[in-house]
Amino acid sequence: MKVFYVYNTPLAGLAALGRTTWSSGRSKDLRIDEEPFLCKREEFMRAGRDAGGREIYAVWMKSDGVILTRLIESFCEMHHIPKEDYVVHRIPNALGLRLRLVNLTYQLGLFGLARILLQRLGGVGKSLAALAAVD
Amino acid sequence: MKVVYHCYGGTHSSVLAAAVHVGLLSPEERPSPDRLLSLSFYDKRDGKDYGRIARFGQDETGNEVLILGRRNYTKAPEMVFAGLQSAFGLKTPIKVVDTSITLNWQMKLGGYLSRGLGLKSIGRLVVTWGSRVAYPQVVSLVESTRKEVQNS
Repeated sequence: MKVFYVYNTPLAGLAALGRTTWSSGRSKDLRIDEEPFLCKREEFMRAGRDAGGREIYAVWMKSDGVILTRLIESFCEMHHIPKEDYVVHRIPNALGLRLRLVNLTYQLGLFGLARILLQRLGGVGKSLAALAAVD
Repeated sequence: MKVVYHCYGGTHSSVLAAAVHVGLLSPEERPSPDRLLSLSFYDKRDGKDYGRIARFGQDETGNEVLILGRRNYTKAPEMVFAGLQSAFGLKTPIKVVDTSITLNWQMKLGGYLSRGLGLKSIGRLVVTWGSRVAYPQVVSLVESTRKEVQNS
């Protein structure tokens, strides 16, 4: 089973990372502000495996959010990949206040500021774990 | 191999390229407006179909030819398909070709009038005119794609 987190900012990567690190109890190893993907405007990233052995991916680019989901589903359909073999999660827009602020800075293209906010804002880890638990 | 032609709406330049690729349109002769309008998908897909791949046909060597509308997200198909190929460990190679480089103002205006505003009679007149003007560029793009596909 593969799980794809899709969004229009690197928060998809954070969600994927949240899923692989929090669910496997490795959250202490994670230094959010040191993750290189946080300055990428678009990416298809493999985050690792979660505690249940599922492969976790993140896909993001500045878009309306629909295109990425449809491309993944359409590609899988084209290759006859059964729906049971993958799940696509669109990150919900109703994020916590801190993550909404980070997301806004990303959307404005202020990647450096978004990174600083991630470093400085307390409780991002908790929000991240919530973000990853969208299923 | 799978060849995916993509453009804004997946209904004009990508269809034209796919039709040349599978041999429905002759590379030597500009198609008539009626011939263009008789092609499946030509000026028929709606904006709501973007992001969905449609199978167009097969070329003479068995390569599957597909079309896709992707709005202004030019980079999305290549990035997503390459990532998924690797994620699922798929062996069948995919060639992703952006056909919007062949667009001219007539195709953009005609496409907008027909698909965007629903003014089909005037829109189709303009978009078929534009398609005929752009036809040599489309043929050249398809020929280079076919060469790349054969060499890969």
